[in-house]
Order: sequence, then structure tokens, then C-alpha cells
Amino acid sequence: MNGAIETQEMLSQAVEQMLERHHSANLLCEGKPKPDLWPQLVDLGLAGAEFPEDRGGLAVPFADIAPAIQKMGRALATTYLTEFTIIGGWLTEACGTLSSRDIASLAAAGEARVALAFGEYGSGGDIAFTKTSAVQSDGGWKINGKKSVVVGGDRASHLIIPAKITPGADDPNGELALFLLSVDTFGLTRHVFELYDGSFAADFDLRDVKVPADRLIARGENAIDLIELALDRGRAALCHETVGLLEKVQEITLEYVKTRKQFGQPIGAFQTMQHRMADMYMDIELAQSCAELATDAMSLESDKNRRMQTVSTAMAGICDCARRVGQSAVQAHGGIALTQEYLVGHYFKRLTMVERYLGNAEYHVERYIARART
Amino acid sequence: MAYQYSDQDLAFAAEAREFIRANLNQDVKRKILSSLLPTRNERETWQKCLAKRGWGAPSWPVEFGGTGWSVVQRHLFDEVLSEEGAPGFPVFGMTMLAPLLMKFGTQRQKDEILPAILNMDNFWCQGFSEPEAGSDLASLKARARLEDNQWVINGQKIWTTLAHEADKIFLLVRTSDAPKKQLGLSILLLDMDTPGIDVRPIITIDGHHEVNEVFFDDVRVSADSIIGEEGNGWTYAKYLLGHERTSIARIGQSRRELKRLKATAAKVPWRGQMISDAAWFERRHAAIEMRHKILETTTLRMLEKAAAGTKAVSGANLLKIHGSEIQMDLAELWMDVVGEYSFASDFSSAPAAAHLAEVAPWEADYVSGAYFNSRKVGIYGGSNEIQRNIIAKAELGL
Repeated sequence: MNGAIETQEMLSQAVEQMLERHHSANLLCEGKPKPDLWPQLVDLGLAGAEFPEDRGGLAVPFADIAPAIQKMGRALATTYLTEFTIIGGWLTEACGTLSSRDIASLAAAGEARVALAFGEYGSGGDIAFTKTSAVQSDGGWKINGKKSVVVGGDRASHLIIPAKITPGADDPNGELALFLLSVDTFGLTRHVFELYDGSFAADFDLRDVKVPADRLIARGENAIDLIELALDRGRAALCHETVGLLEKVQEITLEYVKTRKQFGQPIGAFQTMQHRMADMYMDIELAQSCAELATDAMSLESDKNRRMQTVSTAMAGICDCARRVGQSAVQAHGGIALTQEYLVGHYFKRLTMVERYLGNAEYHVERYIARART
Repeated sequence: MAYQYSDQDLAFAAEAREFIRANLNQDVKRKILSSLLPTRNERETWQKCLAKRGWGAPSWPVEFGGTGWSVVQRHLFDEVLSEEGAPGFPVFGMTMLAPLLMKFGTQRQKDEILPAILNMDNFWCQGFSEPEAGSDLASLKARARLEDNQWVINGQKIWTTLAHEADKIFLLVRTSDAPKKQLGLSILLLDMDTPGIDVRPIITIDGHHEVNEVFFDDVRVSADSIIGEEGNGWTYAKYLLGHERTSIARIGQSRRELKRLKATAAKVPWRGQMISDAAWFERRHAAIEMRHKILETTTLRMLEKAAAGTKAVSGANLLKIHGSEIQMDLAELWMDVVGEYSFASDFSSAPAAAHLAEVAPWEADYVSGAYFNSRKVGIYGGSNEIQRNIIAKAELGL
């Protein structure tokens, strides 16, 4: 136990120091791009943090990385740790085929950045509505389809592509498989675009993309379970990032209401502001609980329904906290919060993305209900 | 009983709609629907078109070029304009400054200024807020002193909407020191090209330039550039802000957005159906639509009361609070309808823009900016906190 706390503190401090040296949220106020922090994450060993030591990792469980992720949130850093390590790298290793383990070794060393391209336009975040399809061809597979808004897709080296392998891609009950391929694969086109929080994403078109048979790294129920778990891991990371974002927003706003004077006194002296700040304080306590729930759920691998319900509980709560605190911080500040020059608006934007990334509150309430029925 | 539109009302609305559809430029309409501001020139062209038809200033008395419509007709006209995606009236000149001039201005001011507002030969902006005087407007510091029959103005204004496009500004400044900060204020009228005025842009988090800081360094205007009496500015400012608050309920705009949301939701796929058929969308859309109906009914009740003279537009505070909350909730629902493509921000540079135009709902290129920008409606025109203070004090005697 003590060893775990030591690891947490060590990683958390190392990340904090790295961010101080290589990153500043104020860049956004100046309209400048955020730096690529991936090389620094690799230096700290975080790219392969969860991998066993004999696979080139630190053998650190998710719970021990979580405080470091909170620091990234506080600093408003875009690291793609969630996309490439927590979701993509982990999933590559978890599939456990010979070819996926090769790429996973590269991911552990930070030499491969694997993104799970799960989003499709119109799927509503439900993997069952995947329309990308793969058919057997020349002893391998031929894949056709479109993947949407893959965060970090601009710099990914590899993709995990969920595709239907039974005829009739419109059938939600069709069999799904995961394919691991390099972004350089012939027939794969990448469209990069910037997102409003300063990060980047890409869409991918797959047109008769031919891959050898060993690029199929999971199929059927196993593939769906692995994707769900990978995304739940990402959601847990998002919860921790959000706690960091919220704490910083609260600090900035509290400082502002204590110093901004109107009607001859700090606006924090007015009861309406005091109630607003009290609500914000409560939301941050709730968000911390959400993050803990999500972390605990990571050890519920044997009971996937309970895990999904718990993660969705956490995410529904986090989405609400992100919305309320972000909006409330803007209202407490007034017009200045909506200017590019002032920091809090950039946190508000990231919080707005959190509300809809990896499922919005509606999505998680529905998933909670669906899991209660099974 | 809640007000029901008469057949004449509806015929009037149909006539207005037909005129707007026949005359409104489609590019301008597209900009309005994308929460973008048409250019100064586009807005001027449209205002002149309305003025030529005799519909340039429905809120004004007939003697100044108003239409003589009933309050219900005026409300309907505003609604139809918004629903059709027409630019709004130049609010600072027409609905704020003009009523003030009609009541307190000199004959010369009325003769010179009002026709130029009606025809948008001049575009006005409003210099009220300062860095240290937002909600607490009366504590403002910009100052004007009388010297050689001229006002000499020094100070700074902030959040000045479209100052960079304006020909003129009406300015709330301190003209004398008084024991009470609300006394000693006056409203001055200036040309924006007067030497000593410096306009600096403020870029907002949606990436747009709409508001500014305006600096005044020994700016000189003639002594008769004042409205009404020196020292009476606070009374005038309250009069004028009351007019702003009625118009920022934006009932017509919200009705338009409710319709457009439904139309877009019917085109966006979602788990094997369209979003318009998804339970979450139906529930959220219906809930806002119902709140909107109640707000509209409340507006009509307030307008009837005002017309009957039983009460001034004191309900304006209520309309502003609820109208702004509906606007903000609609902006949020838009992002959930557009889904993950609402994250995208890069719609100006090829090839990203070309790709997104092909795959994403076209609303994706503005819904997040519109959401970030929508948060201002709870802040400007007197924040919703201040509106509640006014209700507590003026209506409830607390």
C-alpha cells in the first residue's frame, strides 16, 4: 500500500515538473498551439506505464497513474495519454495475438501510437452500429468504411479498426472484429482537423484496405468486451483529468470573486456569488467521488455489467459537474471569461468537450439502464 | 385567458413573411443562421429595404417614421424577421438611443439623428461598461469636463459591441462629482472618427471580433452634444437599458432555432434511426418548446399591460432572464445534435474545411462557437444576477 502511494506521488510529481518545464496553459491565451508532450511522457516511462517490466513497462496499475492524469487536467495539457496509452496501447496488448504484441511492445516504448478508431458518423457512440465492414479476400481481409473524429488521429502511427465481418453491416447483431493496421496502409486516407480545445483529430476513409489475416486481433464477443473495457479505461482517465480541470477552474474563480470589486466590495461578499461558489465546491467533491468510482471499477473485470454501470455513473456525474462548473465559472466572471486572453475560457472549452467525449450524460444514463436489465 | 392571435394578426404575419422572403439576400440569411454577423454593408442594405417599405422602425411613434402597429403586430413582425433569418434592427440606435432622444432630446437632435438611424445612414454603438464598472455601472470613471464650450473626454470603455464598425457612439460619462455616484453622470453623443478615440479589438473564445475596448484621450466635442440635462445620465441609462432588456428575450430567434433543430435532427442519423426519433432528443426539444410557449405568453401579457398603460415594461427583467436561459439551452442542444463533429474548429483552412463540409452536418462549423458565445446572454444587458436584484427591489420591495 505504501509502495503504491509512493509510486503515485513519484509519478504525479514527475508529471507536474515536466509540465512546468514544457507546457503552459497561457499559450492558449496568446493564441499559440500547445506543445507535443508525447516525447516527455515517453521519457517518464508513462507510455508503457501499465505494461509488465519484461515488456518494457513500469508495471504500474491504473490507480497509480490517475493522480498524474489529474495534474495534466489542472495544467490543461493535451498529452493523448488517454488515447494512446490508456485506450490504444492497452487494447493492443490485451488482444494478445502475436502481431498485436509486436506493436504493443513498440507502444510500451512510445515508438508506436495506437488509436482506437471507434467513432462512426451516426453510430451514436454505440459500437453495435458500426458500419465499417471487412470481407475475406486473398487469404486476408478487405476493409471498407469511414471512421470519424479519432482524437489524436493526426499523430497516430497505428489504428485499431472495429469492423463487421458478417454480411450486412447494418445489422447491429452482426459479428465484429478488431483490425490493427499502420496508418500507412494502402487504401487508408487520413483527414486531419483541429478541435476547439486546441487538440487534433482525424477522420479515416478505408477503401478496399487489404490486410493479412494476422491483423485481425480480436473478434466476436471478446472484441466487444475488449473495446468496452478499453473505452471504460479511457473514461476513468477522463474523470481524473476533469477533476484537475475543475480544481483549477475553482481556484481561478475563487480568486476572482475575492478580488473583483463592484458596489464597493468584492463580488464574493454577495450571497448569490457565495451560493454559486458553494455549489462549485460541492460539484468538485462529487467529481472526486466520480473519479474514485471509475478507478475502483477498473478492478471489476470479472463483473462487466457492474463495471459498466459504475463507470457510466461516474461519467454521468462528471458530465454534469463539467457543465455546471464551466458555465458557473463563466457567469461568475462575466464578459472577461469569454475572451481569448483570459485563462478560464480555455478551461471552459475543454470542460465542454469532456461533456461529450466518450459519451455524453444521456449516453451514460441509457447505458446504465441497459446494463441494469441484463 | 391567454392571448390568441386573430385572423388579422395572422394575415399580417403572412404578408410580412412574404416580403422578407422576396427581399432578403440568401447569403445574409445563411450568416444569421450560422450565428455569424452580416457585414455592415449587408445590414445597411437590409435596413434600407425595410425603411423603404415603411417598416424600418416599428417600435417608433408614427410621427418619427414608425408603423402605427399594435404591440401584438410589432411582436409578430419581430418574430417573423427572426424566423426568416433577417438581420435584427440596429438595436443601439433604434431601440436604445432613439426612444431616449424622442423623450429628452432637442428638436435639432431628433431632426438630425432619428432619420439617419431609421435609414441606417449612421450606425451607433453604446459606450457604457468599463473595466471597473460592469454590473456596478454607476461607479464608472470615464470623465468629461466642460472647457471652452467643449466637452473634453478621458477614460476607457469595454465590451463595446461593433465599435469598430460604428459611425457614432453614445457615451455614459461622469460630468461632475456628486455625493451619490448615480448623480453626476451624463450621456454624450460623438462621432467615432473624432481625434483621440482608439478602438482595440477583443477576441472572444469563439475566435470572433465583435466587442472592443475604446479609449478616449482628450477627445473634444461641442457642448451641445449632450442629451437632456447634465447630471441626469443615470435616469436616462436606466430608461434605455429597459428597452434593451425587452428585445434580448429573443423569442422569435428561439422559435426559429427550435424549428431548425428539429429539421436538422431529422437528417442526422443516430443508431439506425434519425436523431429526431431518439427519445432523448424528443424530450429535451419538447421541454424547451414548452418553456418557450410559456415565455411567449408571458411576453404578450406584459405587452398588453404596457399597452393598457397599467404598467411600464418592468417585466422586461423576467423576459430577459428566461429568454436568455432558453437561448443558452438551445445552443447546448445543438451541440448534442451535431455530435462529435461539434468538436471540430477548423473550418477555414483547406483541406480540413473541404473534408468537413463533405462529411459533417453543415451546422458543425459554428455550433460550438455559438454555444461559447451564447453564454454572454446571461451576462450582457445587466447580468441575470442584476436582473434578479432589480425584481427583488422594484417588484417586491426587498
